[in-house]
Amino acid sequence: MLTIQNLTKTYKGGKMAVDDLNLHVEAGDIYGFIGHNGAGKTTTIKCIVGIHDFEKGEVLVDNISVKENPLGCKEILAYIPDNPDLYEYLTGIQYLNFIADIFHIGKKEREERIAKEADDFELTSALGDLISSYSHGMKQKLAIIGALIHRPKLMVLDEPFVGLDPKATLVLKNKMHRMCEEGSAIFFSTHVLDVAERLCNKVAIIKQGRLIASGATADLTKGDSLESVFMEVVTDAASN
Amino acid sequence: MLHQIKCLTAIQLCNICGLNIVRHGKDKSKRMRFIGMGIVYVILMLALFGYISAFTIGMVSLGIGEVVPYYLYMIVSLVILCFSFFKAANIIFQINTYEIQISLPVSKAAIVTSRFLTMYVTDLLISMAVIIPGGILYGILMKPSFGFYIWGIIGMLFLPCIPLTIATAAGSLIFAISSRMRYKNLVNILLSIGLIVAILGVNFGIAGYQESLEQIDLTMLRNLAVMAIEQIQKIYPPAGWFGNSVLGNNLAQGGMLIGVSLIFAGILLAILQKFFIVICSALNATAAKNNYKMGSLSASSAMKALWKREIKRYFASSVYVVNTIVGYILALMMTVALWVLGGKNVLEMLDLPAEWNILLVLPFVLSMVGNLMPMSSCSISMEGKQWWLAQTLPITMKQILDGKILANLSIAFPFFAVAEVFAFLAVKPSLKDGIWLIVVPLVYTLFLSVAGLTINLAFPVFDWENEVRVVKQSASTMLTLLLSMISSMIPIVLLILFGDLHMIINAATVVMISAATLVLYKRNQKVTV
Repeated sequence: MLTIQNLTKTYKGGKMAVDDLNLHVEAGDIYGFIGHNGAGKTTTIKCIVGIHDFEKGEVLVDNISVKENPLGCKEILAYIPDNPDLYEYLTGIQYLNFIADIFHIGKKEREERIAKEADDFELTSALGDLISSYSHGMKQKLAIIGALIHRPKLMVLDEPFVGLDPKATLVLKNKMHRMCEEGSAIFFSTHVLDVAERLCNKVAIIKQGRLIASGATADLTKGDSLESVFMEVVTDAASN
Repeated sequence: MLHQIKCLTAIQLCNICGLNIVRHGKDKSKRMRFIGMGIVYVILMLALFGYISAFTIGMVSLGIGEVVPYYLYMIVSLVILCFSFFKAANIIFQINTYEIQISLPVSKAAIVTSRFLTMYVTDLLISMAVIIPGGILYGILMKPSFGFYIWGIIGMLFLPCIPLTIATAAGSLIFAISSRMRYKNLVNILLSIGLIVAILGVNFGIAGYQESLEQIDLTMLRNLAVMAIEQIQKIYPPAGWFGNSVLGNNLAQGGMLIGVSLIFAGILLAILQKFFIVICSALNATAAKNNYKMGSLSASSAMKALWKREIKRYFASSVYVVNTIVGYILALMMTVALWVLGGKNVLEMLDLPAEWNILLVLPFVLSMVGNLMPMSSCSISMEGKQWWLAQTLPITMKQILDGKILANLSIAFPFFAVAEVFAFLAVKPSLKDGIWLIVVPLVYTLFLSVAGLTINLAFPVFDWENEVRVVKQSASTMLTLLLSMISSMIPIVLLILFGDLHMIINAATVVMISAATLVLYKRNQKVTV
């Protein structure tokens, strides 16, 4: 579902944020992307979703090249940033209707999907209010609903659980599982290693733009905690 | 408290026009954009210097050079008043930094004063840009006493105080009233537009006043300089205090200028700091009913959805609306004045030669005035931190830009339609001239909608904290303003010089502007931001 080949991204000014990164996410995967602050997680994610251009490598979403057919990729993926700056001058329902218009979702389908997702995240009563009046968590929920209503094949999330209340966190985790059962894939970055360990069937660890470990969560941890594996590989990478 | 004011002012000034980002950032393109913006400002300064020089030399050669200090002071004050009015309240009640600053151990008075001082510094630059070259030229030509320079510097330092105080008071009053209303933005926009109409009306009146003044000067020349000065003093007394102190070393008048400036600003700041938290809290408060029930939703095409979003974004920002709508209002007021007063009187009021054939130049004047600042010139930058949404949704650059052009035209066309009606009633054109009167503004409106986007795509600013930076202080809006003036002034000058060839000039201009529009429209779609 998502293939990253030799991805290299250097920022203006010369800082190499991602260095020759290779990664493969299959349909049905919940793939955790772990690393320190500034390791290159968000940059990688922004390259996948078309925010950042990159000088080397290739990113394929369901075998469609992000470089050659960005629109084709965007039609089947959904992205939720760590700090969702949404159109604050719209109400929640106007925002969701806008997203539905852009993704050409029919009237009946959008009504059903928005009603269902908003109820699940307990946001229905706030949908008539301006987004500027929302808390961080409510914005996060709205961004997630906007991502879910067009049934993406690949969902890319940057720190999705930051700001969500415990119930919304559980709802999101359940939705992630259901999406994967239906053949979609999830790729998300996180600092919360417990969550990654319990939720993800695969994880990748990035340090200073380079992938230092990746694979099935069970294979990587081998009965140990992901936290200790993470600390071990990060320390090894530093000493090498 | 002085230390607090100093710290807060310094932190606000350090990123003026994005300077800090350029200093410490590593992005070369941002540096280039900053240099580009600097070049635009240098060009504007040179144009201003040219105007001041011509005016000063002209007045001195007529033997009424002593009018210069009074006149320059009044004009700069008026410019600062107009510029500050559009931004003052937005900066004083800036919400983005309000929560951070109010939680710090600093007084409200320090916050308000630092915000006022930030504006003062930027307005002082305008004051310096006029008074320094004007003063030097005057000094060379008139050889005044040493006191002229001393009082000139003091006057220049205090010049921004009174207009800035008036603008801040008016803007704050509008914010205070609208903050209590349910539809804050709408009330803010309507009150601001009302004030713009009033200011433009007063300016129209002053233009007429100056005309009568210059008529007198030209006929009676040297003997009537005193009368001219008296009239300026009546219009704007501080200009009189300044002129009298620099020319006559008048300590009392100089003291008056300093005293009134400080007292005015002091009273305003005392009032503002008293109501600062109340107004900021009210502006910050958003009505949340939390009672929505799912109902029927309407489906639209992606294009219509983008257009609707642009319109909602436009009317969500009073500073965006007020600054971009002023050209349309001016165009409308101009045609109404033309209809009410007649062509000859309007030419006289605007200090334009009476022999001008108003029918020939009207389509271009209307195009220039109306399109001074199209909303498209900053509509990319106005996306701000939400630009990621446009980048990640399955929409093309063409769709995004078409939505912005359509929104621009949706705002412009109703104004032009009404202005055209008054223009037709005023000049009663033949069929041929009537067609030009419709086609030329139409072509220019399309051109400047597209060109505004081209310029904004070249100079985008997304990391702004206050909309004022994008709408009023960006290279994009400045360059679009210049383009609007230059592209219209060229055919106007040609029509004045070669009126007989107006058909050829009109046709050639329309063809060239249309071709440029098409080229830029195609080019814009290939740009990545």
